[in-house]
Amino acid sequence: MTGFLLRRVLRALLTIFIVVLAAFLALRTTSDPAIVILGPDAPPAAVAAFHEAWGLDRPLWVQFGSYMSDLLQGQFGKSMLDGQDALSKVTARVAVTLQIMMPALLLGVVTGVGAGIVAALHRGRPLDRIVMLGAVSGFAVPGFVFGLVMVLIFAVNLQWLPSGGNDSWQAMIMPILTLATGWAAILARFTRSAMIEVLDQPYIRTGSAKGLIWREVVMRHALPNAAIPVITMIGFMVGGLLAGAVVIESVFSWPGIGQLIVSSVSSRDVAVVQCVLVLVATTMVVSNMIVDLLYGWLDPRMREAG
Amino acid sequence: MPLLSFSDFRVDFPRGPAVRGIDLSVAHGEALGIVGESGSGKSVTWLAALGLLGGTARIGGRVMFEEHSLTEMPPNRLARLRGGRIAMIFQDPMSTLNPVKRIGRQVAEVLALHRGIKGQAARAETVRLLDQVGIPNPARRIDLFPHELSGGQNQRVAIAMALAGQPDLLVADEPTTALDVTIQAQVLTLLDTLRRDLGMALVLISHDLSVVGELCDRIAVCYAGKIVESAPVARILRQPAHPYTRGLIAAAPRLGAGAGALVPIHGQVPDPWNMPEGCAFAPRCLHARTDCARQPALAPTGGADHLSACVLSDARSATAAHRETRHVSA
Ligand SMILES: Nc1ncnc2c1ncn2[C@@H]1O[C@H](COP(=O)(O)OP(=O)(O)OP(=O)(O)O)[C@@H](O)[C@H]1O
Ligand SMILES: [Mg+2]
Repeated sequence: MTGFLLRRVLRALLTIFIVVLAAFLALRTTSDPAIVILGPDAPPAAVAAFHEAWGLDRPLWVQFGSYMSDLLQGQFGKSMLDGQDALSKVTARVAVTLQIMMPALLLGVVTGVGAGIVAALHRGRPLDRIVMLGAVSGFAVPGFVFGLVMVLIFAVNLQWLPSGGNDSWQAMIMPILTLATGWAAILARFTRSAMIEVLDQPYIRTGSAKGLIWREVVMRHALPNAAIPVITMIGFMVGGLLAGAVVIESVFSWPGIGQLIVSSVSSRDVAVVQCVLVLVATTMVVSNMIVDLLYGWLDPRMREAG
Repeated sequence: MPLLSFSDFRVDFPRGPAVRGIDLSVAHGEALGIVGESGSGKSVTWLAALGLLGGTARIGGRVMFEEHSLTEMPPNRLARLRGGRIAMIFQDPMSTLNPVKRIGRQVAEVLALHRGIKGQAARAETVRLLDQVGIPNPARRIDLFPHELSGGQNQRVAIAMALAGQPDLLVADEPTTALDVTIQAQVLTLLDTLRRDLGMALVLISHDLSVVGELCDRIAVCYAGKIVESAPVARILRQPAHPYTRGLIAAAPRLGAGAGALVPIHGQVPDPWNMPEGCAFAPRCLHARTDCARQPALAPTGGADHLSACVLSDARSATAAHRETRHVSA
């Protein structure tokens, strides 16, 4: 078990390192931050001064080396744009992102899993068809299209809700609904098929043969088994939360981490971009690890394996 | 009064009839064997009677369990009869137990449900039951998961689970088909011992006539959703009346004419959507005649407890036909 954990942690660190290296190279080789931040017409002296101030005149691998050594000491560096500490800038925005992500995740999981269970229990009957129709359309329509249509209806035409920003609680409604719809659609289909597979297993009939009424069979024998893949799926969704912020925050101009990464990439604000990427990669890697551990805990057959 | 009896019991699937009018009864404490080829409707009959079929099946006729009509009982009352007075075990022991629950908890669930035994008492009783079905070291094994036991041990756990409700009737649907030959014998012996010790009735479903022959008092032969012959074991093995039964005997390794002389029955059980008119066995029968196009009734043949559904089934023609079978196969 400890060997397993150690291997997982090492692999996780390697993944994060590769992400950091790739982002560093991509940002540095495509354009010069000095030109982007100071403008194309900036005098060469100012550009040189900027280069010197941020160490951009040194060879690329030296820059990367010093960046990595700072990173290992927990220093994410400063924003080239305003000199603020990159980490505190990023964490402030993460909090803003989580304001819509957390309620959306909760809503998406509850409705998606619930709908999937109901559909499976009514397999082939009208209720199943209705739920699946909803899930398939929710899945087929991309989140940004759904979001834009909502903006058109509720912000532009009816003027019930603000079209963007985070000035009021009303502004949270549309981004939360958009996110939750996408997740619920995925989870409904996934839960339904997991549940249907379990309901076809012989041990479900054994539950009935024992004397349990159908509701008890479902609660005691079907759900615990169907939960295994569904919880895994939710774990992966949590891992992708921050990464998924870019699109939704652009649509609703929600000033969270997604907006931050878009603006810092275009201004080549390397420290901030790297900080965001490390954070995103870490949440993904950590949640994948938690999913693996959870899997072993939920499914006794997996305990010795791995 | 019999413990359980079917009268004109039918099960229809959208594709066709799987059980086409069965009359059969099980006495208290009796061991009844049900034999027939794959697809003849053995499982469907019992699953439907106990309300375990669900879905698209339509049920007709009647099943009485003592004075209770199983076919008219509300589903939740029927549910509580299962696992209590009537228990059932199934073919594949590796998948009949819930993979994420400890075996002890799965047995104890029945104790709580039917006997109100909980907590430490349930644990003690579970250990006793596991011991009774021959699980070595039950106090330690009680906390294992199904995948940590062998197929034979899982089947023993399933039997313990069935015994937990102290049933009057245990229906075992091919309980050994998925097991190794040596384990098969052990499990069958266990079932036999338990039945005698506990005085419960046993219905043993199998496609193996020799297995059923050793354990049961009486045998009912099932073909294409009907009982074609039923009689006490000794009688049916020595003087089978129905050509299908004779075919089964000739095809059984330990019952046939001797090693190397197994005679397979040609053809297959007709599918529910493709039932022949009249006797369903006629297309495969060596003695088929024109009057086989009429469905023969299950009627006494040489004794009140020997029933057969064949136009030839008076004793003399049966023996004649029997000799003929041997002749043809030689
Ligand atoms: N759920 C179902 N839906 C539709 N048809 C079914 C269903 N279950 C069984 N059947 C059909 O009913 C017929 C009888 O099946 P059954 O399982 O009772 O046979 P069996 O005698 O138990 O055979 P085996 O020895 O293979 O277990 C078969 O033709 C089968 O295809
Ligand atoms: Mg069967």
